[in-house]
Amino acid sequence: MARANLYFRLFLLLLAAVSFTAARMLVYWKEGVPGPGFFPLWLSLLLALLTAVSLLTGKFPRGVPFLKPPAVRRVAVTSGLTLLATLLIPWLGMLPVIGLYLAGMSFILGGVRRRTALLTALLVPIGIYYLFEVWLGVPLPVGFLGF
Amino acid sequence: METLSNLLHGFAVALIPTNLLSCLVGVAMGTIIGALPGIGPSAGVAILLPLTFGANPTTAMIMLAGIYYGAMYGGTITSVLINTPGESSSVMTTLDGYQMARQGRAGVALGIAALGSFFAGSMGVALLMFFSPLLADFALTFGPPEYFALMVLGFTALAGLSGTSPLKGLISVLLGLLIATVGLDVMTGTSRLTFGRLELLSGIDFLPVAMGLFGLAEVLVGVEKPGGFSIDKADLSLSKVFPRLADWRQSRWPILRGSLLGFIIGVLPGAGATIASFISYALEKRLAKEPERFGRGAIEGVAGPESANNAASAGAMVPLLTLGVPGSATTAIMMGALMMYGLRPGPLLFTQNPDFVWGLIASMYIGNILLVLMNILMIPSFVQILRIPSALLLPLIVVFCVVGVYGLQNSLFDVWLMIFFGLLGYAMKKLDFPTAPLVLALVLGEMLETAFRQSLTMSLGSPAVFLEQPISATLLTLSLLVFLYPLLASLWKGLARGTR
Repeated sequence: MARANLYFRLFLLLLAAVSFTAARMLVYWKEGVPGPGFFPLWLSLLLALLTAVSLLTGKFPRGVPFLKPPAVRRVAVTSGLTLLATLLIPWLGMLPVIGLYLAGMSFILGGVRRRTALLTALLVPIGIYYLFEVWLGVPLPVGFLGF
Repeated sequence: METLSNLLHGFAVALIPTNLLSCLVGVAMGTIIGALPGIGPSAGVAILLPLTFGANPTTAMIMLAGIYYGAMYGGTITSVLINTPGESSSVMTTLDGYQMARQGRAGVALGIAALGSFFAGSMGVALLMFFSPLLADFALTFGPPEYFALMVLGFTALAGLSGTSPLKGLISVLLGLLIATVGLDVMTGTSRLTFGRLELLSGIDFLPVAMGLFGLAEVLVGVEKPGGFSIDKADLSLSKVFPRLADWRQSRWPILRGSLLGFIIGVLPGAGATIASFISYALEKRLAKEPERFGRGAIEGVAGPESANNAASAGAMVPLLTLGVPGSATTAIMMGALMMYGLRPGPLLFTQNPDFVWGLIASMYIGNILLVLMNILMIPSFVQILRIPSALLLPLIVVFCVVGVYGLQNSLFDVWLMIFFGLLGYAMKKLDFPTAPLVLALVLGEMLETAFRQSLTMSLGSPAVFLEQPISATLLTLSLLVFLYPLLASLWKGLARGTR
């Protein structure tokens, strides 16, 4: 957990540094009032300052893992599959990706009967189609399959 | 008299079939969301917000408000039956609710929670109805310095009270405010922090952020543990759900006290339903003739906190509707939704959009009636939802988040943003950084900056403007006190120990 705490704060410091650099290029003060750069500049400075304080004064528990091994696999697989599915949407289309994602996730996470998983993977995209495309008028991305 | 005629007009709006259906769907979905452990009202409102796309603002908000207070009812089900709170404000209910279930009184625990919640919810709406117009009239005197100070108070209260460390809360606020500055500057039209991405010119919308932080992040926390929930068989037939006369006698005062306390705490920014239920439980235990019964199945330990958390959800609507400053994560998401529909919450809402405000208030009365009926007649059906394996339910939530965020602007960029904020939210949750202040800051960021810059324009660049106005000076002093409270409290404790 100590390492995760350190990395997260370093990420915040990096974010603050990037924002500060970008904010410095904007007008800070104009005609006696704050310009567009005033707020982002001070916010990134304060963020960096408070993150540094939290880094220096924080008591981070050592020896406590961020995640225990079985959970690492489940979280990594869920995040990975979600990223992969989003990457595939422009090629395969939203609805087929939803079906594949649901089938894949229920198979990997386990505890679901195969028939139930397959039925869910088939029926949910149909439900999504009627709810979003037909009812709410949201044009969902279509892939090379034509749907 | 004017309030009564406004309310009657509100009922005419709320009873339009689409609004009535929206209320019914909202409270039913809210109960289900509340019953699912790990998915609280804020996640529920964020995940289900896309269902309101295309609806008019009144219909949409009736549904979102229904989800909010429906989740408060639903959270009790798992607290009582499986000793796992559906959301944080039901934590106290597990202490005595689960013990009642083990003594074969699960039905009575759920029944008194539903009836107490009904009373508290209705009383909360009545108080909301009478106090909101008064507060809105007062808020009409506010100028930019007062609004700036009020928003600062909201941030510090939420940052100071929503997590274990006020420092982490403040970092979360700053992160949200920084994200809010991305896009075109409203006053000069200059592009800020967009790094050449055209998609960022219109800024980062609150929906991908809220869905990521509350939807996807919760799913990632949920998949850590395999399997679902094992539910003990409990007799939840209608005859077992109605409390007996003796139960009523024991519960009536805790319900009344919980309702009043919950409403007052709900109005305060940053406090909310969870703190209301904690204080109500502590109060009931302190007032009890036999405090040793608490934790062993005391019905007062269910009736008080459950009433308090429902009244708090009505109380939380007061600052949202009258001042345009939400005090909790859920009301921040609702405010984001309101702005998405082109309405600006604040004191003028009562005069400019009476149909919306009074329709919403009237729908909350109707929603409470629907909820009490649902929660007494349909508890066994809601329990069945807990039997859905998490391996099916969690990916379904992801799917709904992805499609919902995509539907906002038909943009996959928003989906990527949602995933980024989901991973960020997961890390924040694991490392104990509160996420609610980030969403609140994102929603209010633009208004805060505008109020700040307008104030300085008024004073020709002098920051003394914030201290010269009595209201803004008082609010800023309060903000400082709220933020420093944990530090002052620990200093006081240290001094007290030292003098002993």
